[in-house]
Parts: sequence; C-alpha cells; structure tokens
Amino acid sequence: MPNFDAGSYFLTTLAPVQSGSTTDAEGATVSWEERLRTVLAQLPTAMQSPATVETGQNSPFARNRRTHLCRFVVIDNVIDNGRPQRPALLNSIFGRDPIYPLPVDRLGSAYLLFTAEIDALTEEGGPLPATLTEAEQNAVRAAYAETLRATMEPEVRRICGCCVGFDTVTDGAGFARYLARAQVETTMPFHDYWIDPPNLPQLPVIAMGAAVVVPLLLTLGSLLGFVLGWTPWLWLILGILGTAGAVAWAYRLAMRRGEAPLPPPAFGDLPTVLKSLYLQQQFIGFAGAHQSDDAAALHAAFGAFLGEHKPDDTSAPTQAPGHVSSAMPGAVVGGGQS
Amino acid sequence: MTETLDLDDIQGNIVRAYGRYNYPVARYFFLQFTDLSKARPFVGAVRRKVTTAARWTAERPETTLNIGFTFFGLWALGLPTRLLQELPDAFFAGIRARAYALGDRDPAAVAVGQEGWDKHWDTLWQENRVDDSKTAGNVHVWISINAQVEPGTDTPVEKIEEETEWLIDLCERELEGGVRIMTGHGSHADIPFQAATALFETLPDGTRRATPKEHFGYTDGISDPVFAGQYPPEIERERVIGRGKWMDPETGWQPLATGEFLLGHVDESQALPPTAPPPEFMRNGSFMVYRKLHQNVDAFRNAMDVEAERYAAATGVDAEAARATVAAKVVGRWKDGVPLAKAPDYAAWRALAAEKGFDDPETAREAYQRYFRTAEASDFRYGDDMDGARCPLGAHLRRANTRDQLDPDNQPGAKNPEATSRLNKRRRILRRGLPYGPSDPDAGSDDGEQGIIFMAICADIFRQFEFIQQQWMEYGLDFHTGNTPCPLIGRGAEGKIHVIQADPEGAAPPFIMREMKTFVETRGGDYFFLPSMTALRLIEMGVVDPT
Repeated sequence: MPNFDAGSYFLTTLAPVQSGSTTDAEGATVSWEERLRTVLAQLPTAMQSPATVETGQNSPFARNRRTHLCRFVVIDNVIDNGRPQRPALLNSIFGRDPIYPLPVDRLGSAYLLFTAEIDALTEEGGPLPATLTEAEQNAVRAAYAETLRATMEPEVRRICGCCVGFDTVTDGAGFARYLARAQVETTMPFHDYWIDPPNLPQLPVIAMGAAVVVPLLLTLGSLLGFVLGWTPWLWLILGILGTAGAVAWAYRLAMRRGEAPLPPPAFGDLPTVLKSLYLQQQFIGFAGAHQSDDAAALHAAFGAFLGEHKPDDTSAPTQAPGHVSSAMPGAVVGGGQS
Repeated sequence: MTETLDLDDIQGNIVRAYGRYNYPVARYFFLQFTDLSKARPFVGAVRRKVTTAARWTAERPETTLNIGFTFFGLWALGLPTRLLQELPDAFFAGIRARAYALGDRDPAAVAVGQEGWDKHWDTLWQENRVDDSKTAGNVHVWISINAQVEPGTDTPVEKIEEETEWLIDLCERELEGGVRIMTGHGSHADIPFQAATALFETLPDGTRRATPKEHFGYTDGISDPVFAGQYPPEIERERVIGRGKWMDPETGWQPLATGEFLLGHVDESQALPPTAPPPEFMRNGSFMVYRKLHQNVDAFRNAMDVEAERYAAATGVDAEAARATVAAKVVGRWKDGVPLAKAPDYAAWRALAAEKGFDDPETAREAYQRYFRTAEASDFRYGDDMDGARCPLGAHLRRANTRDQLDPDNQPGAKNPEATSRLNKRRRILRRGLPYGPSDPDAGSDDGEQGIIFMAICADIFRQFEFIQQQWMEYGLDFHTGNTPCPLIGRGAEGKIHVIQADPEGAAPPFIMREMKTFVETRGGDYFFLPSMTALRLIEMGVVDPT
C-alpha cells in the first residue's frame, strides 16, 4: 500500500495532454502541451525567495493546510536509450542488418504528472492514522480533491483543462473521480518527520532461516542417500516440497512486512509542522534575549512567551503555509492577538 | 608509493605559501591585453621569469613571480574554441556572476533594480566582467611578485622594485602599450598593483618581524592542506599530521591526492579531474580564486566587546576571560593560534600557555616557534566533540576544514572515535595570499584599507572553493546550525547568531551571540587558471592543439 505510508497519502497521477492545436491567452495558435507548460510556468511558487516575495502571489497550494509538497511535471515522451546493443558477431550470424532500424518506444501523447504528499486525513489537522483501508484511502483522495476544488478551482481548470477527459468534470466529486482515473500507484514514497527513529516491523530472520534450512537439509540428505545406495523417494519429495513451501512462505512474509505502512510520526501533520517552525524561530529570539536573566525574571518571561505563542494551539499563532520563514511579510497567522 | 612530481613544470605558488617561506611582501598586478597581437609575446617574456615548484637547496630567489589567466585572458590569447568551451563553467562565469552563491550579494534582495550593488568593490573589480567582451574593463592576467625583506625590517628587498620596473617597461615600451597594467586598487587609485604585506611586530630590540596574524589579531592558515608530492617524504611525515586526511588509527594522517590541487593527476575520487583538451595544456596546472576581503575591524572589536560583557554576566567569568573566550569561540582558535580542540576554555588555554612557556617574554618567541613547527596546533579532530562543547559547531575553523565531523556515521552529540575524513577530503583548498593594510594593530577601522588577499588553489573551483564558501561559510545545515552563516566571515543579516554550545555534562546553558554583523566583505576578485610551464610555452609558441 505505498500510496499510504507514515500517516501520509502519496498521490501520483498521470493524465494525457490533449493532442492538436489550441490558443494561448493572447490568442496565438499553440499546441496543448505548450499551453499547459505556459500555464504551469505562470503558476506562482511558494514564498521561498526574494523574487517570489516581491510578486506578492503565493502558490495556490498554500491555500490549504494539507499539502506538504507537490509537483507538476510535463512528460513529453519517454527517453530513447538508442538501439539495443547486440554483439556484431551475433548480428551477422542471425542476419540482423543494422541498416534496418528497430522499433522505437514512443508515448501516444504527452502526459501531465502530478505528485503530492498530503496528510492522510479527510479533515484538516488532527492525529495521523496508522492504518487505512483502501476505502478510507480513497476517501482521503476524494477529500483532497474537494479541498483543491474549493480553494483553487480556477487554477485547476487552467491546468487540467489541457488534459484529456477533464471537460466533463463539473464538481468536486467529478474531480475526485478524475484523479482516481488518472492515479498510478506511488511506488517510492518518502517521508522524514521522525524525531526518533520509528519502531519498524522486524522480520523473524532466525525462524525464517530455520524453516528453509531444515527441509533443505532433508532434501540434501535424501540425495546423499541415493549416492549411498538407498532409495528414500518419500523423504526427497517431502524435502523438496517443504523447501519450496518454506521459501514461498518466507518470501510472502518479507513482502507483507515490507508493504505494511510505516507508523505515523508523532508530530508529522502539516499544522503541527508549521507550528513547530513558528515556535522554533520565536524561541531562538527568546533564548537569546533572556539568557542573562535571573531565575525569577526568566520564569516570568517564559510564562509570557507561552501565553503569547500558545505552543499547544496549532491554529494560531503559527506560520502560514507556503512561507520559508516567519519573518516574511504575511507569514504569521494570528500573531500579536493575545 | 611516493608521488614524484615534475616540480620544474609546476608554478611555485601552488606548492608554497610564500608568506610562510619568508616572502612577507607581495605585489599583485592585473593586466589586460589591449593589442591582442602582443599577448603571446608577453607570455613569452614573462614565462622565463616564473618561479617554479623546484626544491630550493642552498640558494633562494630574492623575489618570486607567478602568472595566471582569467577565462577572457585565455580567449584573448586566441586559444582554440574546442579548448575554451570545455573549461569549467565557474571559471567561465567568474566571481561577479557567482556573487549570490558566494554571499557577496544580499540574498534578501532580488537582482532587478540593484545596479550599484558592488559600489563598495574596488573600481578595478567593479569594471571587470561588466561587458563580456575580450577587452572593456576585463582583467586578463594576474601576476604576483613576492619579496623577502631586508633583515630586521619590514622593507622589501630592492629587487621588488627592479621586477616592477621590468614589468612596466615590458608592457609600455617593449610591447608598445599592447598590454595595460590596470589600476583601481581600493583607496590607492593610481598604484599599478595591489600591495600586500604580512603584519609586522616590533621586537624589544627595535627590529621588525613578520607575524602570521591577520587584522583581527588571529593566526591564519595553520592547517593548510598537504598533498602527495608537495613535500619530500621526510618533511611530509610531520607536515601531514592534522593537514592531510584522517584514515583510521592504524594508517593515521595521509596526504590528500595530488589531483585535488593539480590537474592531470588522480584525485580523491580516484579519477582524473575533468580538463579541456589537449591534456598537456592543463596537466600540472591548477585554478586559483583571488578575492580581496576587507575586514571591518571596528565592527568585529565592538561586537566582541558587547558579547564579552553579556557572556561575563551570564557565566560569571571575569572580563578578560570573557573577551578572549567569545572571540576564540567564534574563530575556533585562541588569539595565539592554540586550537579550542586542545584548550577548550580560558583556564585550559592559560595552563597550556604556562606549560609551553608562552607567558614568559624571554622564552615566548622560541616557544611559539617550537609549538607551530610541530603538528601540535593542527593535530586534532572533531569526532570526539560532536556536541561542540570544545569548539562550537558553527565556529569558523570547523566550517573551513570539517576534518572528520561529516563522517556519515557521526550523530549530533555522540562521540565517534571511528570518524574519518570522508566527505571532507574533496572540499579542501590550498590557502595562499597575505594581509593588506597597515601593520599597526590599533590603526584598523571599518573604513580603513585593510584585509586579506585571499587566494585559494584547487583543481575544481565549483566543487572545492565555491562549495566551502556557499554551503559551509554562508549556510549551516551541515553543522546542525540551521541557516546561520560563519560567525567570522559569513554575511551579517537580520537574525545572524552564533551559539557557543555548553558542556552537556555541566549545568550551564549554551550562550547565544547576537551581535554578529558582517565582519568580512569582498572588494572584488576573479577566477584564474595557473598554467604549467609547458602550457605557458605552448601559449607562447601558438601550438595549443586540442585535436
């Protein structure tokens, strides 16, 4: 279930880009792919550099507090690695004259790849789940689709409108179905919000080894018996079947353990991550300013710090999504209200 | 096997930091080919004077001379396109284009509307590479002349004048002005060279002696790297301790691979560093970074005074100890060069000084010489100090040469006696250059003309110098210090702090320094290629053939 791991949902979709020509915002005739690339190039990135701050426009994905990271990629075609190499000697023996080209793999159209890591929740905030059934995972995806529709529908229409099949999408449920159709399994999710190493499932290596080695020894012993002049057919068959069964069992066990989702980190949901970023920056200033205080003054100041910054309240004051620093204009939500 | 290099083919400044070989005065000339037909004859005339890396036996030259070229210098020399287009992109782009990455431009300001961001640079460097043509204000050639001094004085030998006059005569008369010696060095607008000199001190008998100090008063360049073939084996054995790469307790310190500093030789990835064709053009050559680094002496002193007062209040130590401690915890060494790794606090430093005889004015000079001649001041590692209780994690010394602290098996706060120089051995630079400005320790101010002519020699400017400058000096993630820059030479910005980590066994909290301004800033510079003697001959003869 790699779409779900460590309390996060990893959404990957591949949607075919429309073929043929269309018009861009200025009315010039362009390909659908070029129109899509232009729309994406004009999509604001997050407040992560002076240049993006100066534009005053944040990424539309910063309008929700569920997206940790997301990315669009236009896949033009598959990379061709060149003609498969075969030894010249075999070519001449089997008559494969290099004058005749071999088929080249091509995609039927360009594709839009969208990949996002989101909190595996249907509501914003809250503890991340350790396990989710497939239906529950689908509900997470549908809720995310509804969030995107509600917060950035114009951008979604401009982007996805360049892709095949989006013209029938009229509401959040339709967009959820569209994402489901375009979804491919995420095979390598990455998540690293653990403060301490997670408690990973361990394989019973000794038991697995013993389960394989015992029937294997039986098999080898039976073969030795044939050499010594006995005919232990029954033992040999039992040994072979036992070895094959044990290998299959060990393999399935290892794969099942590997597929089991990692546990969610204690503070890995986006609102908590944002709050911790906010607190960390505030606390550095506090520690520097009060390092020479006596115990009573420090106690009083820290009380005021807790009152102002409310460490347990992830809603406010906190760092707004889409900002790399609390010092940026507009980066603090609910600051100075206490 | 011992590496044997063709020392007669290698320029001498690659293997020797002349300042440490008793050449404490230097003149750095920057030249431009205005008549391209005079460029090759110029190289021909100069190459016969170039000081090579050949071992000095009985006789030493009174002065040394070395030469390097910018990308546009090589272009003006008419070298083939095939060669030029395979030169590294950092070398092609030059320091000005890399200003954001190097911390020379304010990263909080966008480029648009920032014309004049370099107005504090020397006019020579303000006009360099503004227009990417062969001439305009572009610097093409760097020539350095280092000189010995008359014994007991800070006056360079007369030969430095003779060499200067020879160069001026060559450019103006012999080559009919086809090569221009450029001016615009700081406040000395008309002097045709950048002057540099070690800081001198006056001994009790009135004689003057060069010191290894820079303008903040600290000893510089103690742990300069050692590479295979640089020294004869008997000298290498001692020099390599603390300056090479740490392998394991059995193998100990080993010299770095020659190819980290000399092109055409195998480097620490056990491959040849990339070069442009033909191979003989770049073999035995190297790249050099030239940066004129201004030191804001007042700002540094004032910040340390304020922090010392706070530190004394927070920790209860006396004023003198506090002043010495906060600055040492910024630099990574005490004022006299003793590393914090060897003496982590004021009491330990004073005890070591008493033990070594540094305190007694009668014996101090010899005692210091003895101490720094051995490996004592460079033989240390950080694997046993991963919590920064001895040398703070963000101190300048830990950033400039990370030694074994980036071993992938290291964990913050946990000692690792098995740590090695992995991830460090590919990020070393040979430090060359001298301070510039008056020797008087009280004369410095923020506006004065004082600082360091920083020159770094390495096989790959991007991988070595630029990485150290960008990732370790201007950023702190590798040291678990977030985005804090180097407290000593990093850019000062809102929120720049430096944390003096506390002993985790003790009760004292860490101390946060908050007065960290910009103490060191660039006045300009560029990237140069230092050709071998073979390459200089090929250039002069016009037979550089990349096919």
